[in-house]
Amino acid sequence: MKFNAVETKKDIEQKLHNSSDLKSRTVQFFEKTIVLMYIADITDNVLFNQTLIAPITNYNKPLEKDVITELKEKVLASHEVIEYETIEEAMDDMLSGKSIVIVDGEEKILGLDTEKITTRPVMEPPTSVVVKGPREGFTESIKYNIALIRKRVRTPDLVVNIMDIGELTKTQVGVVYFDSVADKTVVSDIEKKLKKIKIDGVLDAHYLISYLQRNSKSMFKQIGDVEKPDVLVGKMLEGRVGIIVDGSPIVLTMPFVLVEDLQNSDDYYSQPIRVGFVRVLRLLGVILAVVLPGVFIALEIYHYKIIPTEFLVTIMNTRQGIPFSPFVEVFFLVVLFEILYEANLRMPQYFGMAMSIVGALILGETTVNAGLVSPPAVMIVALSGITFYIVPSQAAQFSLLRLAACVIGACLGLYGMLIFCVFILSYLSSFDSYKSAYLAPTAPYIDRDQQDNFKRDLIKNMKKRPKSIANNSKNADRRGDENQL
Amino acid sequence: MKKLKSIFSPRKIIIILLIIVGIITVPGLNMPAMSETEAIVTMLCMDKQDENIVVSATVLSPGPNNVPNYQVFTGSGQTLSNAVDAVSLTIGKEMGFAQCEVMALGENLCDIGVMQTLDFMTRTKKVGRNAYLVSFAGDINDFSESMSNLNKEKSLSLEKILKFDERYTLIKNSNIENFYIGYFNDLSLGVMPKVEIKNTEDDNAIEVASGGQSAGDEAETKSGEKEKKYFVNDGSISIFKKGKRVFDVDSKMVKKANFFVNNEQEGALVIENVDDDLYTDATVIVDVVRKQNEIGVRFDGDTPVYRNHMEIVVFVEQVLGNQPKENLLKRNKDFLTKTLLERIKEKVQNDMQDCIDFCKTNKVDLIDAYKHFYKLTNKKFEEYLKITGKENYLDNIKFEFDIKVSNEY
Amino acid sequence: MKINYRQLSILVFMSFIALKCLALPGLLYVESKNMSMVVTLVLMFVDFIYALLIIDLMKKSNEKNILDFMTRCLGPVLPRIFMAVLIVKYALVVANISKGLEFFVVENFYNSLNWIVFVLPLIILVGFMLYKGIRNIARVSELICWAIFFGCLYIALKSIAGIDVLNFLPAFHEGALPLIKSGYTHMSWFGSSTFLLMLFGKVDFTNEKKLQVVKYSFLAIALVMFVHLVFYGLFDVTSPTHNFCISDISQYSSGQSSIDELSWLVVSLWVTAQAVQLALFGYAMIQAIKFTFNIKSNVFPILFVLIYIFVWSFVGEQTVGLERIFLSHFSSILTIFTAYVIPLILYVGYVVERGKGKPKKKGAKNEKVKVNI
Repeated sequence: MKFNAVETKKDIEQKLHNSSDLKSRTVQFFEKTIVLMYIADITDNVLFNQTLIAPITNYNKPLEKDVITELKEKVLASHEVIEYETIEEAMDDMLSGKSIVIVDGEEKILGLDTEKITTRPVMEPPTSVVVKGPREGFTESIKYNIALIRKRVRTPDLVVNIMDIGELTKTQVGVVYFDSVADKTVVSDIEKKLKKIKIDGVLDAHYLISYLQRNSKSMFKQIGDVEKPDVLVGKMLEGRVGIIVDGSPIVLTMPFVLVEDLQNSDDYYSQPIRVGFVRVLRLLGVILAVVLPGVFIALEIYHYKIIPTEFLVTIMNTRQGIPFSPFVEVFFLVVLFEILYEANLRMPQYFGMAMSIVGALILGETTVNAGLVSPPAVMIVALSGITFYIVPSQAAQFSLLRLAACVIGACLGLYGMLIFCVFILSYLSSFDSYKSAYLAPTAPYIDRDQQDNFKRDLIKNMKKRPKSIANNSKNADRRGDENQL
Repeated sequence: MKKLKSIFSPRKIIIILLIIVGIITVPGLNMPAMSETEAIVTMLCMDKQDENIVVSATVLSPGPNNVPNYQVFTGSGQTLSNAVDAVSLTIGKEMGFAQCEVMALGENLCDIGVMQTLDFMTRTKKVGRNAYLVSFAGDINDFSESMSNLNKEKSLSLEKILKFDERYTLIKNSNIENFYIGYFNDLSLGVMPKVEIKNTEDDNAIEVASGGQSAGDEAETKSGEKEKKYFVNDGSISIFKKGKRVFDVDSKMVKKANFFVNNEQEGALVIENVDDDLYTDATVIVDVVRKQNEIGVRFDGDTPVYRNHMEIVVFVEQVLGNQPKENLLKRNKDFLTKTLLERIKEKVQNDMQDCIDFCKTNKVDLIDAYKHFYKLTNKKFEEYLKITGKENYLDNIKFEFDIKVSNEY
Repeated sequence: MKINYRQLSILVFMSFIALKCLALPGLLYVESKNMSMVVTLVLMFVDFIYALLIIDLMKKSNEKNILDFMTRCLGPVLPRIFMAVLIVKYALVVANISKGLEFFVVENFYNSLNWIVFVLPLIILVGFMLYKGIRNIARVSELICWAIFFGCLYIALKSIAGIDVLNFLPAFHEGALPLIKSGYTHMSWFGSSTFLLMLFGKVDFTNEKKLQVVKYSFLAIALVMFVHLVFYGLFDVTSPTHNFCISDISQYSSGQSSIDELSWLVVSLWVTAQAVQLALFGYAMIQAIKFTFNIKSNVFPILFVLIYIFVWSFVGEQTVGLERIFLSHFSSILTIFTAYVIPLILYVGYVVERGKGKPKKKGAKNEKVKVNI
């Protein structure tokens, strides 16, 4: 089909509902009418002028081939010239920042990359702060993000497979992995799931999670999220697959195992002995965060005999005159804590400081003085609240579990808490995330992977890729195959 | 089948069960703290008075500045259960015995037998079998009062005193469990520390030891001075046979029996009239800083032999009497002269012989001879018992002492 | 959904310590006195030998399940009968564990606890684990196994100073007869390896470390023996009055006035161990029901087991002395038959079948059999 430049332009304008940011420019080139079209705010004007307007209008050599070929090969000053056979194809690309060239009477439309990348600079992500180590974080641009990965990986092995997801947004989603390291079945499984997604728009990476995880209704996350390229590359080197979404600074990683959340990128830049200690502390923190208020309630209601006599006296003293049951007391504090957290999170920073003072000092102090709650209960809830953020990525889940633990502790006592804990363990043990057991390498116990579980071995001793993560087992040696080199 | 399966789907079953559990247990959400509904009993005294059982419970209650406040409540009834209920009614709370650390039994109760009481308290009321046991002489109200006085001083408790007591008496662990072990053994012999109650006017010196400022429990005496009840623990013990108290052993004899017990117990020995190059008719007090017993039993023919090899490390603590001033310049170990060593050895041997004589006379095995012979020479000892019987077996045992005294570890 | 060899070893560990650290030592003492430990040691060792024997059969069988293997070795009739008997044995163990757990929880944690409040959460947990299958049970066991081991070790070590070595003398005072009698009476506390029969075809033997089962079995035996040693060393003649070995030795240690906080943690861990052991034998019971009645679905056997636990808890609550069933001739004979006779018959059947099959089979199939042997 041959395109009539003017008609095609009208056609596109109509399809885009005469959108005011759709711009066009008509030029003559060897007696042919050429229409150049672009979307104003997402196109780089300078680049547009340099790659399109200037070369076309200044071209003064004789025409040797047909116009399209001549434009493509000699005139247009761009690193990439795409040919479209339908208006729809051309339009889709134009909407992502490309400029299109419609030559009257030709069978193809040309497209040039003139996209204006508008994104914030590369910064350290606020939830993945490190003391020592790289501070670069992902941005909202998929191109920048891929560039950040490429900067660290100079191998042909890195595969970036980009697809558009979202009927209306056509968001670019990239699947990144190392071809020789990642498990092929996992990659194809992920790609198959991504291709099946039917959704209007993907505004963030988290939109994809429910499509990708097996137990989609589970409160526990089964897909990892990273904000830093060094962490992503580290995970990819172990065989994981990353999913980058344009417009999101979060990169999803799969397979995911729970222990990942107890690990931090800092761990790999610090002394191994310290790392082991800190990881155990994190685990302890998680346990305290979830069960401490529940256990406290259970002890008060059912099992005061466990409490040492001296401490029991303190509790009895502080509880004098408090009108609520231990459950209501702790529950009130937990809810208060959650409200403060939510309010603090969304407040401007300068308000946030004031909020902390109001919350922690004034509210805490006055509730105790007013005889609504006892100081030990405040201490227990505060301790539990602080320990949440040892593992920030699981804080949301843990806060719900904490509430459940409070109810169970009050209803069933310590026995109920024990059953609850085993139930949680059993529930977590039942997950498999892309061929990897959720609690691996602890359950199932994988001897080889203990070098980077709760302790971390010296980097030079970590010779094999982890077995707990589904990866290409034929290429398990981290030092690479000598024959390959 | 498919329909059935969908009805019995695991998710549905779990949700239904959770709902049932929720319905049943939801009152828990509004349950008060247990410490508010139960009286926390830290000590329990029991005795028999006029055909009634009297129970006195020391109850922990909140006090200012996190200092525990102890209150004593008393009740009586025809049975122990009635008496406990009477205390509960007085307090208006269930009695919680989980924190009960001491059980004190009055002499009257000890005389009629304590096993039923202990069984009831441990089985039904769930008093821990590791609670300390103590017998007391005197009125239960006086004992409760003295306990109240003691508890007012935060650092003092009967439990701590009894624990310290173990270093000086032959009771390794004066708790209910050990009493049970003694009761269930062949000899059915039990030992319990014994305390007495006194008034301050009886002996002012000990008031300082028991300490405590008392307001409520003080009573005006005739002279206008405030009189206070306190208890005295001098290390004496009560001996029980088949759960009944048979007699008491004074602290002196307890110390003598102490030489047979195979553990590191301490104490002081007073050696009088020491006369040699260093001492002139002096009374020397030596401190036993370490004692190691090695008890061996055997049969020489048909005669059972009980051999006690003992190594004592002593330290001269005090020398009474006029001594030359040069003695003060001597090193510690020079104080332990050959004569003194001999005298210590002689003293220990005499004390042990006294103890054996006491055991034989009273037919009570404070020295664990039965246990050692039974465990180590089982068959022969059983034959021996057939001849002597379980009452008189001590009579024909030959005792050998091998005592080594030194001042070096 | 297969489990690996390490997980199998841990399940053996869990089954070996199941039931051994609560009422058993006290009950044994009534008949076998201070030599009770010998009874436990011998019977646990026999269980260990049988565990090895069954695992060996498991490795040799190519069948997907025990029923097929039994049918191959013993013909079509006997296996169904054996399965039916095994259901009763597993039911007995499940009842014993759940009853022990109930007593333990009620006596140690609460002043009083409604039986339904006890049993419903347990049913939810066990039901979930059974629904998720053996791999889930194995993984949970893996998670808590070492905590239980070190916890029990801690409790025993803490109390060791209080033991009196003379309590173990005189040795074999009344000869071996009371020990045999005691072993026979308390047989239903043993025969732990029977659950392995239901794991045929469910174990992945690749990457097998041969000594792992031996290691974990010995650890279990050593742990149980050590706990019993401390128990008898502390309590001697009062042993029969102690129903909860593991918590009672911790209460007694060094004259503590109450159980100290860390001991509570360990005592709590024991509850989790009991729950997992219940799920393990519940799983074996489900498999046996499925094989006996040829049921494909898991749902109904699971429901049956859960209802059984529920009913047992209710009946046990209402009927005084029902637990004496565990000390009856019936349960002893049942255990001897299921734990020691059936595996032996199976082994003999397998050897005979292999002997018969050898000359008939030719070529590749024959070679395969040889390789498996």
